[in-house]
Amino acid sequence: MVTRDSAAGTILIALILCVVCSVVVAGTAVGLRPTQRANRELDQKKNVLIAGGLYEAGDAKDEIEEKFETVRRVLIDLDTGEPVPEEVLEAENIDPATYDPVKAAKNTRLNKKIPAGALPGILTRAKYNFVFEVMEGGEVQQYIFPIYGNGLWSTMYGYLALDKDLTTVRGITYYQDGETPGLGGEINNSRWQASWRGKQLYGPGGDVQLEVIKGSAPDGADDKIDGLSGATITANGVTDTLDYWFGPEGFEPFIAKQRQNAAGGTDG
Amino acid sequence: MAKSKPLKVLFDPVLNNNPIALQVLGICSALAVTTQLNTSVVMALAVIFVAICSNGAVSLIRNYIPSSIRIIVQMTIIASLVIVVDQFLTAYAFDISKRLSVFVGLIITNCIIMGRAEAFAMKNPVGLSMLDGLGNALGYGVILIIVGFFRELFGAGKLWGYTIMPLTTDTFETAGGGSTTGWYPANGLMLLPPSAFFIIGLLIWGIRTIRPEQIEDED
Repeated sequence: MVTRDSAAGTILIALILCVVCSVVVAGTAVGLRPTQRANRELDQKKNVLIAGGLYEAGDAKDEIEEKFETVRRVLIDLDTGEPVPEEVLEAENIDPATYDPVKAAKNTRLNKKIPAGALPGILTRAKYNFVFEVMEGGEVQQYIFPIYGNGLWSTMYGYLALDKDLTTVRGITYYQDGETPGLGGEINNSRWQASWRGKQLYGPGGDVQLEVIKGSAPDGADDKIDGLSGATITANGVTDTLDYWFGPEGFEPFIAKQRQNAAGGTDG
Repeated sequence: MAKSKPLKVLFDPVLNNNPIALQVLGICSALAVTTQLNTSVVMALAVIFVAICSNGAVSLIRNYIPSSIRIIVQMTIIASLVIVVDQFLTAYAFDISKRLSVFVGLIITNCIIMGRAEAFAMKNPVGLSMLDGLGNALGYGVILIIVGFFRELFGAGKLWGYTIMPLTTDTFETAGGGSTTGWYPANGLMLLPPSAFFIIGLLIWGIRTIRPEQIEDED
């Protein structure tokens, strides 16, 4: 019989404890995984709908699912702007249903370097990302793009919705950030988000012109967003996020393709 | 400590021997999660669950824990319980778990839980230890909820997400079809962690005014 405080007893107790605890932890994690995944998907759908202005406060799971039926989720290759071909999906072993661009950004096989300073503090992005197309009567009414960039304390994840003209902003939402509540956290303020509606993302030269400025945007300026007082770094982070994700490194190739298709009539 | 009575074990830590107000433990999370009432309540519930179970589990095996590794044994039990709570929150209270973010994980480092496991559960039977865990976690939770109440009310003009005092920065539609702004200018300080220091400080002052025996001797 080993005694409690002997070396053998100590190791035995430590061993038993570790086995019991790991079974409990692993059991919970595995048992709850399907519910957690469903939650995350529902949350994503909800936020896409919020960006597109389709979500109404209090919508429950069923309403979200129903509204999301008009939304088509396309996995695109950011560099070409084309949907990722089937054979690439197979070769890379990607299942679009479970693909997570944020995770893929850390996977050397699936990521790409971000040029230094283009998106401060973030070094790599996923090669492939989703675009959400809101359909109505067989036509795309708006495009919703996932965006993220660093603010003062945290990476801010959100969605930006563009009209079918691919420059008029329909809405923006942030679904995850750790900015200071009341200052940078005001990116979640619905009034500030509402002020984005109708702004023009691209300037006449085809470059991203929309920016968050210091102070209030002058009346009628459709290329400027009101600043967030006390949160210049967060606001600059939002501007950088727009510049990168809607520039040539981000969704611009996709956007250029859509414009071409629209201009070329129905042959696209 | 004299022979512990169950009721005394349960209620003593809530007022007389409050872990935050008297022992000044567990302050970090009290600052971090109390910007809103509902995150405070969920955090309090999570701590209550972890404290009861960890005290129960530690007490159950207290006669088998080798003294050389007792702290790490307690830590392992607490860490496992915290992961379980975190998993349940992401599964069943997704929105709140997003807002609590890392602070659920940080329950592991909450001195109250570790302290009670070491100071009480190692020496007392299971039932009494679980009561002690409940009592201390309640003492923690009560303070958290009081702080959360004031911070949400004065910082955002809301309680549990419902508007109590309409903010000057929000617009509301009136019955006639027009719109109006609220009358309460939000106190931004209340949303920042230091405000919890002030509220907890005032609470400690209040409690010690009512119960002068809690005032420590001067060094």
